[in-house]
Amino acid sequence: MRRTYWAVTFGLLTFPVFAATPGSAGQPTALELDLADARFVIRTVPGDGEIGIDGSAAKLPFKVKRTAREAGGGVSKETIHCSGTKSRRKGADGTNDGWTYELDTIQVTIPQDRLLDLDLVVHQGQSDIDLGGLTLSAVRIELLSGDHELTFSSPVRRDIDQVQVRASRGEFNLRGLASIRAREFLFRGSAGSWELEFDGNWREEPDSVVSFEASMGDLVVRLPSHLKLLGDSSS
Amino acid sequence: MGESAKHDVQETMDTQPDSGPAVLLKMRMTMGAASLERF
Repeated sequence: MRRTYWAVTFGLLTFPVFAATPGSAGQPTALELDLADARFVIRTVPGDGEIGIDGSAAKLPFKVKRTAREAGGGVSKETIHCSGTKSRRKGADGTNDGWTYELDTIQVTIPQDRLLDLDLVVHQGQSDIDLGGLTLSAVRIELLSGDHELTFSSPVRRDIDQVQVRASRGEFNLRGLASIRAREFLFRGSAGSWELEFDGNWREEPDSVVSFEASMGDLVVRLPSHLKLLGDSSS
Repeated sequence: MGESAKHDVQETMDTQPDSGPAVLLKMRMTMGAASLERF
């Protein structure tokens, strides 16, 4: 069964929520959030409700497409595409060939009590993301072409095996990473400036792996001093 | 990876605790600067 929802909304409107298809007990919902061309503020909220998208602060039209379907075996898949409208005006500082770009702010809320297999992509925009307190079975995050801040201000509610973060062409400040409580952290990217701060609630066992690969840029890694460093394959 | 990161890693391995949780750190960057800090 496949249900598709299309909507184009304008500033001053809050996009209405819809009845999603919850996964079976113990089965995660595969959630894909594909966000572009806006400044996205992502927060978690108590409860097991729907993914909220609030564009009431947007001045220009933005587009939201939601798809929810049963994938069999009690697994549900939910996909949300949201894209804003970049406006540009002549810049006084001569950047971007004389143009500066303005992004609308769109707020996304994710319920903490829903078990999620999360794919989050933000491209051609900016983001201020706090995923603290989520219940995750897996998480993959992609941050592209812009300035992005990602934090886990509180621990996730369930340990996970691996978190993957891909990023390119921008500045990436990632904090509270210990609170992801993953056994393996994989960071991949091309050009960019990275700050990775592993503050928060570190998973005590088993031993963890932090792997970073990028082609070009600046990287600062901050690790708690109580952690024992097993080795290094820097090259 | 630059000498700065290698120096940081070596220094932190020389002064780290003998027990407790551990992490295997792998950093690879073709071109650029990298550093490791402890807090």
